Parts: sequence; C-alpha cells; structure tokens
Amino acid sequence: MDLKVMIYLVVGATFALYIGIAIWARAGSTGEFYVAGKGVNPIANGMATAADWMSAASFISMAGLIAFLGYSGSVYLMGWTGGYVLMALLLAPYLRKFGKFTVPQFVGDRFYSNGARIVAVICLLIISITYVIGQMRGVGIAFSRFLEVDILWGLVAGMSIVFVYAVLGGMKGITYTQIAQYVVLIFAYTVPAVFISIQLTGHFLPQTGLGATLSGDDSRYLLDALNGMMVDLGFAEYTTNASFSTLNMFLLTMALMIGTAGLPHVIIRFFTVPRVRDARKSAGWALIFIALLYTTAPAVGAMAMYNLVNTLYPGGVGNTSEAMVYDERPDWMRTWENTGLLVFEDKNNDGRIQYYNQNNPPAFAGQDDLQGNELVRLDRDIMVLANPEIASLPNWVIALVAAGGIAAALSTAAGLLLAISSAISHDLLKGVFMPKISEKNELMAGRISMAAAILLAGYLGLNPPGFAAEVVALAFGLAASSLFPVLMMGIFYKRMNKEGAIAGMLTGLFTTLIYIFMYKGWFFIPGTAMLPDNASGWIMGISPQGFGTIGAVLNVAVAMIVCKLTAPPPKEIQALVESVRVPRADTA
Amino acid sequence: MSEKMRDLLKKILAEESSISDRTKEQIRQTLASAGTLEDQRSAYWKANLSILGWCLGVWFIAGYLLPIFMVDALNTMSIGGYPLGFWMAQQGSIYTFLVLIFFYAWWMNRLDKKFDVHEE
Repeated sequence: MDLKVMIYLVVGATFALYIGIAIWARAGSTGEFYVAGKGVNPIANGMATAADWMSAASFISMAGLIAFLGYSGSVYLMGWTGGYVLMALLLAPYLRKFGKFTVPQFVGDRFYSNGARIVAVICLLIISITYVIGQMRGVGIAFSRFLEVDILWGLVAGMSIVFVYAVLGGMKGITYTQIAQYVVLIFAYTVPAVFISIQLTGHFLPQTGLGATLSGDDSRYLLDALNGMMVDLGFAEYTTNASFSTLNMFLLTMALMIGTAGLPHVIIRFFTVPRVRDARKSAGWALIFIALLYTTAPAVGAMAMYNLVNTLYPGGVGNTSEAMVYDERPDWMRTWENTGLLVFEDKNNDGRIQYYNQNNPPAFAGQDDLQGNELVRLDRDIMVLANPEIASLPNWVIALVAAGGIAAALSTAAGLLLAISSAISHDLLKGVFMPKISEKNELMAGRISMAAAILLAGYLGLNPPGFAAEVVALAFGLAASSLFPVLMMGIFYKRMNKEGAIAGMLTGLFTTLIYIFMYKGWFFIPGTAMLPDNASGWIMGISPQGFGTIGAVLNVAVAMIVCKLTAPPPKEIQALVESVRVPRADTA
Repeated sequence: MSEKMRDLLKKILAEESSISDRTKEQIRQTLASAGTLEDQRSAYWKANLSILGWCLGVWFIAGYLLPIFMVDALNTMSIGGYPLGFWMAQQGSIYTFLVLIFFYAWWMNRLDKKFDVHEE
C-alpha cells in the first residue's frame, strides 16, 4: 500500500478513536470537568500522566538530542524522570488530600490570600502557555512532514480534535483519550527501536542492546564502536561528558527535576484518583510507563547515530575517498532534504559527502582536498522521525511513528489547556472575581476559556515567537523556581505565612526570568542580550538553563526571612496543614 | 497504659544508655500510640519525615552522586558493553527512581495502618 494512504489510514483511525472516547466521556459537572470526578483508577491515571507528561519534545526530539550529546544528554533522561520521585514523595499525596481542583487553589487557601492565588495563576499561565506553543508546533510539524499538508491545516486538524474532547469532556475526556494516546505513542516509539536493536545487536530489548556486542562481531561492543567513530570524526567520545561542566550538569538536572515536580498540568492529574494512597501508587505507575520510553530513548539515539555514520561512510569511518556518493544517497535522505532539515553541500565537488567535526578537524581532513564538513545541516528530530526509514522498516511502522508523534503532542497540549482553563474559570472567576457564579455557569466559563486557550495556542503554534527553542528552559526554570518551593513549604513548614510565600514566589519568578533574559535577550528579542551566552559570560559559570535551581534556593531563602519577620499564619491554617499531612479524612 | 507505666518508659528513655537506638525508637512509638491524638499525629509525621530523608538520600546518590559526580571513577568499570557511570546516568538512575516510589508507597501504607490514619 502507498505510504501516504497508509499514514492517512493510521492517523485517521487514531483520531476516530479519540472522538469516540470524547462522546463517551462527556463532563456533566465541574468536578468531572476539573478532576474527572476523582474516580480514575491509579494505574489508568499513571498511563494518562505518562501521556500528559511525554510531549512532542520527548517523542520527537529527545533521542536526537541524546544522539548528539552522548553522555551529556543524560541530564534530560534523569531530570525528566527523577522529578517524579519529588512529586510522589513531597507533593502528590498531600495535594490529593487537600482535595480541591487546582494548584493555585491550594496556594490561595494555604496562604489565606487571593494575592498569593493570583501570583500562582500568573506563574501557571506563563509556564503552561510557553509549554503549549511547542506542542502545537509538534502537531503542525508531524502533519506537514508526514502528510505533506500545509502546517496551517495540520494545526487546524489537531486543534479541532483537541477541541472536541477537551471542551466536551474536560479532565474526564482528556484522561481517557490520554490513555489511548499513550498506547499509540509507546507502540510507535518502541516498535522501530526493537527492530533496530535486533538488526544491530540481535537483542530484542533496546535497553540491553545498547550495552551489547554488534551482530556478526562478538568481540566489539556497540558503544565502543560508536566511541571510536565519534573520535575518528573529531568529536568527543560518546560515553563521556563533553558539553557541560560538572556544576552545570548538576544544576541543570536539578532544575529539570524540581521543574517537573512543579508543573501544574502534571500535578492536577493526581487530583483525579480516589484516595491518598492511590496518588502515591499512581506516581509509580506513571514512572513505569514513562520509563518504557525514557530507557529506550538512549538506545534509539545511539543506534541512529551509529547507523547514520555507517551510511555516510560505507567504506569505513574516515575513509573519505569511499564516502557516500551523493547521487546514490538513500531515499529517506532525499525525502528529508525536501523539508530543509537535512542539507548537503558538496564543497569539494568530488560527488561524495564527507562528514566530520569542522571545529576539531581529524587528521584525514587535511587530505583528499576536503573543503570542510559537507553535511551542513542535520536536524536532531530526524533521528526519531526518519528512524524507520533509515532501518528500512515496513511502511506501517512509518505510519505508526506519524500517529505517535501526533498523539504525544495532542495529549500534552490537552493537559496544558485544561490547566490553563481551570486557572481562569476556577481560580480567577470563581475564586476571586465572581465568587457567586453558579456551577452551571462556571462549567460554561471553563469550556469557553478552554476554547479560547486552544485558539491562542493554535495562533502561537502557527506564528511561534522567535524563542521557540528556548521555551523549554523557561518553562522548567519557572516551575522550579516559583511553584515547587511554595507548594513544598506550604506542606512541610507549618509556620510559613502569606507574606513569605508571596515574596518567595515573586523572587523565584523574577530572578529566573531576569537571568534567562540577560543571556537570551529581553523577552527573547534578538540583539537585546546583555551578556554572552557561554561559559565566559555566565555568572559563576551557571548556565541560564540550570538557573531554576538557584531561583528555587533564592525563593526559599527570601520566604524564610520574610516569614520570620511577619506574623505566623492563623490557627485554622495550621489545622489545615495538619489535616493535609494525614491520609484519613476525620482529622478533627 | 497506666500513668505509672508511661513514667517508667520515659525514665528508661532518658536515663538508660545501654539499650539500642532501635529499642529506644520502639519505646517512643509505643509511648506515642498510647498518647493523645496530637502526640500520635506528631509521631506519624516524624516517622514520615525520617523515611522521606532516607528515600531522598537514595535519590541523590542514584541521580547525582554516582552518575554525575563520580562518573569518571565508575566508568573504569563496566557492565556488559556499558561503562558503569554511563549506564547509571542513562538507565540505572531511572530504575532506582521507580523502585523508590513504589517502596515509599508501600512503606507509607504500612505506616498509615500502624498509626491508624489509613483511609477506609
């Protein structure tokens, strides 16, 4: 069957499934709209959380990122999984016991202050909106790449689907579609990985394949061969750290971990399970489902890199006179050249493509009349998207990857949109500006703000601000420095009062924003950066991506000082903290 | 428990140096479970904080100490074709995180029952 027809069929079938679920799981009350009626099975919630969490970036970009960073890419693997330990141990059970609908609601009630609640809403909106832009881009890219439709129509299709199940079903509809989307995305990710692992190493599991010997050569480990290749081409060894200082490795991993634990759209997933002990267990299930992809990703990255270099140097790595003949390049390279993500330039006009590290040219670069690296652009996303083609897998696998990429982006977008709309309808309208609003009207307001958020996200996806690449650092840095510390202090430090919490959140938010803007440009406007964004310009060598960790420390420090200088919280708030700490409801 | 018995246990805790920390902890918990609701809740919270501390210690070792700070030393060893430090960073840490979350959930469910604060 023609590849394109196959992709339309598979993607169309998944869309039909999502719409079917939307019709079955309509929300009838605000409780169903915000927290799926608190009736979700903990394992099902774990699966939905995994889809909620694993975004277009996890599915499409992460393996490629690791392929080019090698060991240094571990910051993303550890940062985006280790955060679940913090969430499961320090936040989820207590916030579930609190038993309300949104994260800003906890902040507002615990710190007995609408001001604190509004500051939390602002943090939530900045985090979630920057994050959703990337998802909409992911939807658009998956459509335009695989179906060769205009990015606008790709976005319209994606937005319409989300509109149907998120506006109708709220959290209830989103939960059950996320479960379906998880199944689609994990199949799409692991099937090509298993095939490639078997091809290269004979191992069924990519997790063991990465540490195994190459097929046909029992004395040579895959990673050793890859290390040798990278060094021969003038790059660092794959398994050693070449990209970050140890300090930044630490700070970046920590910022990603506490950022993960502080992301509101993930935290609210734990409001949907029936009991506190379900929240504890559900976080573990979430991490099992996430780890299936996250332990596969390093194998996908390394194996794709190995395959790519072998394709470019069929006569052996560094054997430039037998490098790949441009006119005989494989079909998948031709396809991806059309997208501009892969660019060759035969600088020395020998009809062959020579690839190496121009900044640290290996010995062979001086021979054969080489004029520089000829693989001019290699977008890291190709490492996952073209993987099935690189390994010559059947068409249905390629179609599956297309559906998986779209599922990953849609599931995360829906979770974010719910966090945004509930912050507007429940926190701003019901909580602060219109406390007397009826439940029916609040539900309607939730649906309207959801629809508005979808339109905004679609618009930003179509016209992404120039900082699309920086938003991940921003979202995690802000979640780490603003929301996580205040939630944690709200639970673990009974004496924390509203003055301390508000001062802490604002300190974390602004120091992190300012530090990122200093190096990336004010509001990411090009040319307005005040300091060079490299190790020599960073204060004490701290990279802007890792600054969230410092922001969190400043948040806690300022909150503690302000809290000591002001009055303790009222008795009933201390009683609230006591009750949140104990699972059983009767805590009189 | 009688008032006399409580005083005796408290006295043992304060003065007896020959008993082990483990026994002392058990005495404290016995006292707490026999005390007021407030005492019980505070003992429950202390027990929770203590297991949290241990779990976060393991989290730090698996996520930072081994795969980042000690990576070069570990890379001199290997498991299969993986240098050990590299394996810890790209596989081992994630498995440890998983085990930690389930361990904590299991431990806390027991603790909830022991202090009679579990859900129905």
